[in-house]
Amino acid sequence: MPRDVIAALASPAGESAIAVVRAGGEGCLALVEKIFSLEEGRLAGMRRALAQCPGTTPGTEALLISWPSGRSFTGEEMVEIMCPGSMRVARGVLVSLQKAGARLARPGEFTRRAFLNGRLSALQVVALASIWSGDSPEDGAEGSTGLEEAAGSLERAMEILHETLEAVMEFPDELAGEAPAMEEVVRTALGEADRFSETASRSECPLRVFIAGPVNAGKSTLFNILAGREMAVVSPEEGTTRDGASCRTIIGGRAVELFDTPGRRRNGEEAPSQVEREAVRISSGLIGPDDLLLWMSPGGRVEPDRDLSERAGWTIEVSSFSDVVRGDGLNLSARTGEGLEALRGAVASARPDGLVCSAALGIRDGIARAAESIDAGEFPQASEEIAEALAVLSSVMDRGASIGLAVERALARMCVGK
Amino acid sequence: MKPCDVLVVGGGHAGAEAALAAVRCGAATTLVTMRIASIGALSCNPSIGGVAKGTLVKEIDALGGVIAEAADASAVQARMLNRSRGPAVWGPRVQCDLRSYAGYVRNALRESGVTLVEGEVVSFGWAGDRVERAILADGREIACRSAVIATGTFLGGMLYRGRERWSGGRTGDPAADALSKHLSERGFHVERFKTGTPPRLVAESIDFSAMEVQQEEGNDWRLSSRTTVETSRKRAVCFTTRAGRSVIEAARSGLAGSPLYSGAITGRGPRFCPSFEDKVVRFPERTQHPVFLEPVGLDCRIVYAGGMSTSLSRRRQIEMIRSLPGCSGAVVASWGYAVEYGYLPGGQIEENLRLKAADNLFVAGQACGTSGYEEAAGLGLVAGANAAAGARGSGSRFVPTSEGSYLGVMLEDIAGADLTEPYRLYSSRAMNRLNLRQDNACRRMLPVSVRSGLERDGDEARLRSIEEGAGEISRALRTVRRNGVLLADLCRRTGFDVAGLAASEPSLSGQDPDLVFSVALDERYAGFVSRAERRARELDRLSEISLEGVTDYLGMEGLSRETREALQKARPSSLGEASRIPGMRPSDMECLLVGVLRRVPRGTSR
Repeated sequence: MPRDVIAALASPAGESAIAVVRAGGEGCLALVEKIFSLEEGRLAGMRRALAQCPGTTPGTEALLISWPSGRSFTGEEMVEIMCPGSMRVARGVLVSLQKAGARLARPGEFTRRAFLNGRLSALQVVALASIWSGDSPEDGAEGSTGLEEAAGSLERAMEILHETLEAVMEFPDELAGEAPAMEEVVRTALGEADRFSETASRSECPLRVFIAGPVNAGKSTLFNILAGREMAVVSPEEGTTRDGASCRTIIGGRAVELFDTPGRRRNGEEAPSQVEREAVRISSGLIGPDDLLLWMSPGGRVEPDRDLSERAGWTIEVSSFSDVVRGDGLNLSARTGEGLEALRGAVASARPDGLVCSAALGIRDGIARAAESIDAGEFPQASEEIAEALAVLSSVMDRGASIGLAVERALARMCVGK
Repeated sequence: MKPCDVLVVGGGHAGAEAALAAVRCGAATTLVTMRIASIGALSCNPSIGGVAKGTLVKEIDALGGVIAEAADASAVQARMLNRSRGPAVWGPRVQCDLRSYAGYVRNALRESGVTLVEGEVVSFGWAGDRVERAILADGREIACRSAVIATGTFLGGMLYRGRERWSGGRTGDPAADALSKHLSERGFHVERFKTGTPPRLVAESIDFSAMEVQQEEGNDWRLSSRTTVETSRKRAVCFTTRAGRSVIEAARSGLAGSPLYSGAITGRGPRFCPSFEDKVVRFPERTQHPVFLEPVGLDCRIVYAGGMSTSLSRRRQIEMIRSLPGCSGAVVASWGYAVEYGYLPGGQIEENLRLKAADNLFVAGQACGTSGYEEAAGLGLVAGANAAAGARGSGSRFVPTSEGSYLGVMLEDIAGADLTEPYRLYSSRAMNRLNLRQDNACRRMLPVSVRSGLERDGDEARLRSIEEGAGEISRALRTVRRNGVLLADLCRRTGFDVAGLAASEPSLSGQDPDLVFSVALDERYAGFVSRAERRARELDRLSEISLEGVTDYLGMEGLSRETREALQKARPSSLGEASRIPGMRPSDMECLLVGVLRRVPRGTSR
């Protein structure tokens, strides 16, 4: 199905030798030809071209590499534009692309298209994400096969459970073979679901958690507690934190990327230094709709910054120094430890996990409910749960999972007949 | 001969229900059978009902059919299968006295005014695509306005035992070869299936003391809503034993002479009902197989050897039988054999069971690829009702929905289907098995019956009283609280004793306990059912999505091989059409949808 042209800066924002702008989608070749004043069809096929960047003086040339649809990694027409390393030039290219009808790509949109066009499986998407997020490529690759393998075992275990349930229901007295023991089959499926969900949470992108709030709220103290080591400087002096520390850690059993941020000055009060103002601006810019904001103030006295909480996908309000002053939010005291467990739990369950993680948890719940139904003598309900869980698994796994008539599959495995 | 509105070919379970349904719809009906004495014969096992099948029997009963009454009247043992596995899969099943079952059906036909004719239909007289008359082997002709083919295994039937091979529809009965030839010549597509039956033994020759006894379990229900539960009735005792190594060895050494493995039989048989030699070959690791010894009647000393279906030679059969515990002196009353027969594949059949290439010819039962008495009876009823409508010239079609009945599930599966083995009804073939229960069959089907004119006297009043009762119970469940919890919510709790509700709830006293149970189960499953319905609606919305241009289903991910092959063959034009391919489940549809959304843009190739 035709998709509009999207464009994005593909290299890190900042000064570098070369900046890469990527454009993709139906019609993007023609569009790039136009803004670079190339003759029509110059980029048709897998081609390279040198052309002057729009809005620059002669000599500022970009190298263009084009892929026709079906040949690029997304499966759609695509151009990569390598411009001389200045953000001004790269931004100029992006602006021209937008003026010509392209729109800025949302984060991950190229990958999403690759997935929708059948170029990447969901698992590969997850593996790519873990490569991008800084883990070594080897880790990523391992994560993918490990996840693939765990998903395969889980799928087979659920299929056997499904088949066993159906066979036992459809052939109550004709199942000549002793059908596999139900408890055993259920236990195996639960075990595989646990393994899958652990593997998924290891491979998938961590939840990003930003600790923000007014100065002297204890943000860096909390950061150190959650990080499990002292990484951030803590002092009673206002505005101690400028370049916020960040680290990878596990909170409530879940992978988290934790960010400490510089404190906000009280209403309207200007931060005394330019550096501090800039630090606040940069750290706020990092927060996005998939991220969790921990807004922290002594006794919960300060309302969350409107801009920050609107940017963040989720906000948890924390009332710090709860041993001194109580608040409405989650009462937390670094001194007594009050509220720490609650906070860990809240963080772990704040945002739904990534695609595979949340699927894994849903699948496990489904199997557990099926087990309950079996105990209660409700086999058809159990079967519904398993079929649903299998459908979830097959949709995230994007491979040959099939529900079909479990009883027909059972016939291939089990000896039936009176 | 006397002309009729509806002419039915065959007097088995499909033919009998077809004729009775046609008569109830007001059609002058003639049933032609090779032997009037064989009408209603239980040609294979002596039981009616089972999981899904028992529910289907109750649906047929609510639609005015005879199968449930006949089974109740001739019952010698009753079992409610799956009693501990959930009410949605309870499977009422009764073992019948063969003679009294067939007698009941014959009587019902006679009393209803169906004209019974003994003879063999060899061809139809046509006017264009309309059947005008049936022509019998002896030259007689019967004019008709529409006709139903319910020939069971007789269409081109061929029987096999070891190296023996002879034409026949059933042991002792000739095949309908001429009719089979006629249909092929008319351009109908006839394919072949295979089935089989075990040997029958003489009861006196068996030492039952070495076997496990299988008694009746519970006698507090009847298949028919028209039969009352009386406590006294004669029971039969069944036995189970095991076929061990020596039986398996005997079968294995007979394989060389087996028509199944020598290639003599090409038609495919049912995997759910394999012959003993099949089990030995497919499951070589098994050291024993269960055998069920069921007397076929109270006064009849013949015992059916369930699990021992075989087409091996007589020598091998007696070797196998005599190797069974307690059977060293067993005498065989009749030998097992395989039958290969012609059927009309579903691609040429409408959902009302009319053959697409004819204006007024219908088909039901094994003749359209099903297996089982219950399936045959259900399809027979549908074919009969539609043949009657066809005879009247009214355009009305009787096609119960697959959401509301197993009967509808079956129709949807059969029409357009490409079967790979004789079709058996499974509970899991229903999209919403939790709704299609044996306890609510009457509530589901009586309204359909009354709307379609299939009802019997008094059914309308019965329906009113059931609906009234159900309404009151439903209101009580949704208003009365126990310890602050609404009864309806209680019903949904895992482990809540729904069966005990009528007895324990004062606000429901005076109501029919069975009806209370049934309505309470509706509440219990409401969440699951609405989830299934929501999913179905979502798919409905997507059914418009075009599949034009999709040529490669075999490479599509997420679908089973069978589903991919079925799609490749059917080449549906839209998602909606794909959803009607038999065996497609909502989950398959979701995978298909993803497959379609992921198609590489038009005009491009990898």
